[in-house]
Amino acid sequence: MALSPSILLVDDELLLAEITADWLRRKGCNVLTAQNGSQAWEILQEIKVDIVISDVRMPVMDGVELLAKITASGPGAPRVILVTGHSDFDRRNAYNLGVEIILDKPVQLQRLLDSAGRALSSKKHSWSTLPPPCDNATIRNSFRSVTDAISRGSIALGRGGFCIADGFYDAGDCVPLDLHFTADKQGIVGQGIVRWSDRKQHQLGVEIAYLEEDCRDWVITLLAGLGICSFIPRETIASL
Amino acid sequence: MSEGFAPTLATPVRDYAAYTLNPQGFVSGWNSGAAAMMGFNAGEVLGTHFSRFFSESERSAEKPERLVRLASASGSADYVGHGVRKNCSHFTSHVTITALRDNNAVLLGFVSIVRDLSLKAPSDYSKARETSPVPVVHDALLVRDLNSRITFWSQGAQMLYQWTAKEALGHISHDLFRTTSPVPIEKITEHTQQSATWDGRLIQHRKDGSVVIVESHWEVQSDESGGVCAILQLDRDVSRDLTAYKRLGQSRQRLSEAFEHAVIGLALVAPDGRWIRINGTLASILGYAPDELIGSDLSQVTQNGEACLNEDERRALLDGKMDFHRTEKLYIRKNGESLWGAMTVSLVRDALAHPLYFIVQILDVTESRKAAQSLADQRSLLQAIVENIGHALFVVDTTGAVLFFNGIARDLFGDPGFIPLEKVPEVYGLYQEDQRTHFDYRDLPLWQVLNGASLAEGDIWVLNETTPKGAWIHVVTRPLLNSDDSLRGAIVVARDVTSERKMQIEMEWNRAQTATNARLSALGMLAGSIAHEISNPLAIIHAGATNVLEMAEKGGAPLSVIATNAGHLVHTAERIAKIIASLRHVSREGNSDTFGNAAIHQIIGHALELWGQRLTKASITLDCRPIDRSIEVRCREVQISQIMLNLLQNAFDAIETRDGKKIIIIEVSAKSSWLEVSVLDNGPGFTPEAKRQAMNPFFTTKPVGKGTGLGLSISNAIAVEHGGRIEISERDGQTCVSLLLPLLTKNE
Repeated sequence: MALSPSILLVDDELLLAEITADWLRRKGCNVLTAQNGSQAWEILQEIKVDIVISDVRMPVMDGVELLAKITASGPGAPRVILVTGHSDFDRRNAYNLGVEIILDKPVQLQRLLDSAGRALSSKKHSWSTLPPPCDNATIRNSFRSVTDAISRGSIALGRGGFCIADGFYDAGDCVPLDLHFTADKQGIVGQGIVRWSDRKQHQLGVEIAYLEEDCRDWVITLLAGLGICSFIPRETIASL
Repeated sequence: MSEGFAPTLATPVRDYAAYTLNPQGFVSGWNSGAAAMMGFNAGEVLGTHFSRFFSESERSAEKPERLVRLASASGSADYVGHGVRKNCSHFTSHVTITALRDNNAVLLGFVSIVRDLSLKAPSDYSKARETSPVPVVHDALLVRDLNSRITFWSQGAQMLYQWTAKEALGHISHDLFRTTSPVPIEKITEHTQQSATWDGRLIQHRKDGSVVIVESHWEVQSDESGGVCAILQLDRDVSRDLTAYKRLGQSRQRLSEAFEHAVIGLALVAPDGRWIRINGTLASILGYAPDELIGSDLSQVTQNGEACLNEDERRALLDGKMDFHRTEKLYIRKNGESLWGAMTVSLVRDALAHPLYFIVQILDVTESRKAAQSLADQRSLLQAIVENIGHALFVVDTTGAVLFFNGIARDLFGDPGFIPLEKVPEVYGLYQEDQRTHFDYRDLPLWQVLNGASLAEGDIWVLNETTPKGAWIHVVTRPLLNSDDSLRGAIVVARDVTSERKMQIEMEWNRAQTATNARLSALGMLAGSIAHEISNPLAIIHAGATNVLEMAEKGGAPLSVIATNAGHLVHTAERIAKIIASLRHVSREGNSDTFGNAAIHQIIGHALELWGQRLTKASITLDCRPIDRSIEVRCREVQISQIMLNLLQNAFDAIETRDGKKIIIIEVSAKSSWLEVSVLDNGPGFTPEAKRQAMNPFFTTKPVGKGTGLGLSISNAIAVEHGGRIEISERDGQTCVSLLLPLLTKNE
């Protein structure tokens, strides 16, 4: 994590933006504010920032639209964190568009700062921190190979996680991972957090939270090699 | 002339017995007729008492003694009773006893004439009385001496010939009567003296000169020495029989004509079953010439080739066991056509009840049979319809007695017998809406129709032995009228509506449920926005409080900065309270609230409180000019708020995703007695089809999941409940949905 990350804070609630900005500055961040997506996009054309923290519902241009514009602008784009007081917007879509994390209002200021740090830290670092143990059933799967699994639509990989054909978890659940790719003689073994669950389509969006040391480097190389902006893909190919 | 008499009409002389008695009732003379009838010869009875000719019971009742006493007193006495023969057999006898007196009225004795009625009518004693109405009374009895001078003159003689005894006694009888006879009188007298009796017909004259024809019976009377001393003459008037016979001839002619020209088929059939005469009508009915059928038994015209009148029927008629016989049969005409004939047969007897011939009437009833058949067909068709209409059906007369019912009625109530109307609810198990209280019979549709209603219907809960699970029936009753419009009874049609009612209850429940769901759905749509409304201030409070906390922990922060932050917290908390107040305003059902006066600016204010932020975030410009604070409506405030939310929601949905300028305008105007609140938007507007259907429940133009299609229909229902309505219009290219409510006047 850079010592003084630059943050663009986007919220139409001026008082909230002001208070949050004050706090982040005191923690050593460089903070800019914008009142809506459109204003934020204008600022981004001029100034490069590390992180965009944006509200979702805003007049003129909302947070999701801003996110889409940012991730579409190519590699080197700032990481985006969405903050929402809303339940009824499409998180699955947002993860697909590349959002690092979606936080619910009211959010603890420290958590906001941690999320920003995590978004900026290298995967090797963030995936080596052992999370608290988790009781849920392991997502256990054995595929012939990564390419085979992707082409068959058994799994779709993103920057920070994957979409898999499974439907028995709820959003927010932590889940042990044990995915094996036989021909590759490798696997994704560790722990994840379910970001969205579609029981109807039997699809699950999982963010990787921790990886065993044996597989960590392989996974990081694999995901980086794919060169995609989706944090968690919206769908496996088969269901597209 | 005598050959003109049918032999059956003449009376055989043998059925007379004559004997004489002395004044004490002992037999003093005995004729051959008496001997033949009673079986005694003269020697056996002379000198014995005549009571021996009576039955035991008559003797013990002293009948014989009373008869002679009566004859002695009044001249003669008649008696019908039981005669007893020598062989002890009985016969029905008519006894006439006449007293014989000399010129000085000294009683000489009695003449007794006995007639055997059994011979005349062997069957029946009482019938015999009717057919022989005591003719003996009119028989004239006279006694002549050998010179034909009349020595005795009975009352019967006086009645027949009109002379009194005084006038007749001493006259030569045939001079007095100016008798005409087939044989000279002298010859008859001579014959009588030789052979003791003579029978024959004489033509006599009465005192008034009129002619009378008599059957005359002469018999000699002997004295003690056996010598002939007198002749007893018994005359019986047969003129009437003769006249009747003549008349019969004339009427027979007329009868024959009537027979020929009768419009129904007539035939005479001999007792042996042969057809002896057939009229033209019958012949044409059967398609034959009359000659072709006479002499046959008509077996060729009946369907099965049997005789028209079978043996049993013929016997029954002949034996008098049947007065007539009627039957309907299929007959075959000569040309092969068949026809239905109704035949009636009766027997004609002569005066003595001997069978003469059968009279047969045949009527062609083919048409009426066809009519009856078609009536029966119609009836069975009607029956089939009635059985298959699927409803229970009763036809009841004015007393409530069931005249007819179908199978379904039986399934519901069992076999309906006659039950007094007031007992019907109890016996049939008819209950009111609560399913516990018996129907009052006066509330029954049937009772109402029988008391003048032209239609009565109602729902009844039926619970009885045949319907143990119970059933709801809808009963429709209509009067059944006679052709003169008088009330004949009623037709009751009962339909099982159990499942219908169940469905209706479910539907009502569903409707209520749907309305609630729609309200919840409208709230659900708001929820996102509301969550945002609350989560934003909450985020401010959270962040602000975090700041204050850190300042307190670190110390050194200026008080003015802490005060500013605390001020933010208070202000933001109040903002939340306000939102919650508005939310509370619209989340209740409100349909059971009482009506109250409410200022319209407040209602709209609450709605905008919940919508304001949302509109802003969707970049929608809201144009709402200040509203006159004095305008009030009488309403359920919560419900009107709900309408406002609905109208705003619709406007919002119409323009939310539009490019360019998005405007919602709220206008409030009070014109005369109406308040009009209009929500305008610059969305695509209503198509004519959408406008037509807008108020229908579940109609929506929104994408799936966006709306229930109940907003406007429920809003309209609420408006109507408030005496108002929802109107859709277009104004300057903008869609305008208006809520109209009756305005509260100043006095209210």
